[in-house]
Amino acid sequence: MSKRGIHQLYSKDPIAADNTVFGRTSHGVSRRGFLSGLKTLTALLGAEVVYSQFMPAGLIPAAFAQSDNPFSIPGKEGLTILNDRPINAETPAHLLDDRVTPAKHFFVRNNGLPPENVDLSSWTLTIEGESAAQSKTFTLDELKQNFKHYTYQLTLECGGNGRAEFAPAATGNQWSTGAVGCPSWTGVRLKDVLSAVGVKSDAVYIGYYGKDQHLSRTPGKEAISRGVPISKAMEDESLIAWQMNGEPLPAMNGYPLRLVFGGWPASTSGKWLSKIVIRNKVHDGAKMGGKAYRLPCEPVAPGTSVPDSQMCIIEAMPVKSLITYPRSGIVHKQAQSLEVRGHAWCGEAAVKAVFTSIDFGQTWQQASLTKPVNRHAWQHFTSKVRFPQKGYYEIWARAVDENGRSQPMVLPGWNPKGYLNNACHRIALKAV
Amino acid sequence: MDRLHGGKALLAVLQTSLFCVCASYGGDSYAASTALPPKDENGLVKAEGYQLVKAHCSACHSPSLIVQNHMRRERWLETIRWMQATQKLWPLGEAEPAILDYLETWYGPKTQYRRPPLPEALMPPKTQ
Repeated sequence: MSKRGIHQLYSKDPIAADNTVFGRTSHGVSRRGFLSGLKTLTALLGAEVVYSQFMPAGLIPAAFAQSDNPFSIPGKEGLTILNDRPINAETPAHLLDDRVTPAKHFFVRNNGLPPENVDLSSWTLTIEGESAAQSKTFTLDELKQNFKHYTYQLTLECGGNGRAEFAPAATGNQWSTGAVGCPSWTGVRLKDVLSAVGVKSDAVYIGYYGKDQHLSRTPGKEAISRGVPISKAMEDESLIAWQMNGEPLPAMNGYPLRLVFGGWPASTSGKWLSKIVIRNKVHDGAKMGGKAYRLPCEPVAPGTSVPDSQMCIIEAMPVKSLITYPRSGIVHKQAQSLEVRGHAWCGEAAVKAVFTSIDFGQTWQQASLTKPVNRHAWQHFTSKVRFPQKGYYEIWARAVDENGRSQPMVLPGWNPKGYLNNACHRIALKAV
Repeated sequence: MDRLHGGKALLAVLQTSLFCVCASYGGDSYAASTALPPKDENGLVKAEGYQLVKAHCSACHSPSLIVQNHMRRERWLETIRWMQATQKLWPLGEAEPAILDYLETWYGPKTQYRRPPLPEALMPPKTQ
């Protein structure tokens, strides 16, 4: 039995996977027990499922998942779990409908194992590096007391969001559309802290280190240590943050301290932040090299093997949008118009326009679009759609940025690790 | 028992076609890790069922028509029924399941797309 296979199946739609694999249906309200499928499961396992009446729907039976035990993520709701070690989970599009993403619906992307016991009183942040004028360490209280606080709504998207559509397939967590969110973040400006320590004129990059462990638990081996050019670090909206939506950061999103660089691959926004290095060269921490978060410097044909020396670091994320209402798969009365809504964002510029199509991109209608509340915040679009006849429709959304760059309708430039798929979002419905 | 059989069959499908990184071979639905059998002069895979397929399916048309097509078992069966109803294909008798096994294994649905159909979980209900 394919362990990876069953995980992938469950990651798409756990309830449906129950039915597909085991013929299992569960009680609609409690989402527990077995209305059907218990015999199949028992036969396949070669043993009875004890307490089967309590078994939640959509969980891979542990015997099939081997060492990966069914679990849930504290503080998160409705996320699709892609991987349980390290924990990675994305948000179904319709759960991203809020203008400000609630913490419970903000995706989880871990490269390593989060720290288990966080002691606020002993947590420190050290700033050092070749291009730092000095090495300086701050307690959390010192950070909060010494620097002015700022709150911005900042979009974070995993560089690999959309990887699931890559063909030939790209390795890594198979994110569909839900590794993105735009909560409100509170903290201090990175530039204020860096300036207080002193930035030498030869500084080109900052790198971060966090308290998450490498998956192998090898002492001193970083799970991830990335960063941004000094120019991005010095933007007003680049934060050292301790709050999401006015509350302490969720455990899986970096509690108690993290970086937030809106609009850039979320892997640059280090979690469980303990050290920032000001570098006189491009930071060379874990996942800065090789294929990680890098694209072929020159575009390549799908499936091309690209040497590491020909890979370049991803910077700002491309223009993108997501339909968050209605939920894909609805049945809608044809006589009634439908208000479609969602968000649009772009790593560098603002989004200029959003268009929707109900005829597979043959015609487009312009949606109404809000301005961003601040730089790097996503914008909201609404479009009133009418269906000319009964039948199957897909609604597509396509955003265009201020520089005139538009989302493609197919997978854009193939790359070995499956980054930056900003193909227009599609949902399906039936008009009756 | 039906369920059990269905479950096992599905798991077999999981292993071979849906959830592995697939090699492009005939259909691209066969596991890359499996040794690939040879093909004949028409490009038809020489594996179990090959002789039956050649005997029954190449009297009227070239096997290259098979090679170009990729579909689910049910649709291969529909195609056979259509050929029987309109194209003078004879009853396949006991060979039919073996032929379908062969077609399903080597000429199953394509799994790689520039833009795949939306996944089943995001689709409206089929009946309504």
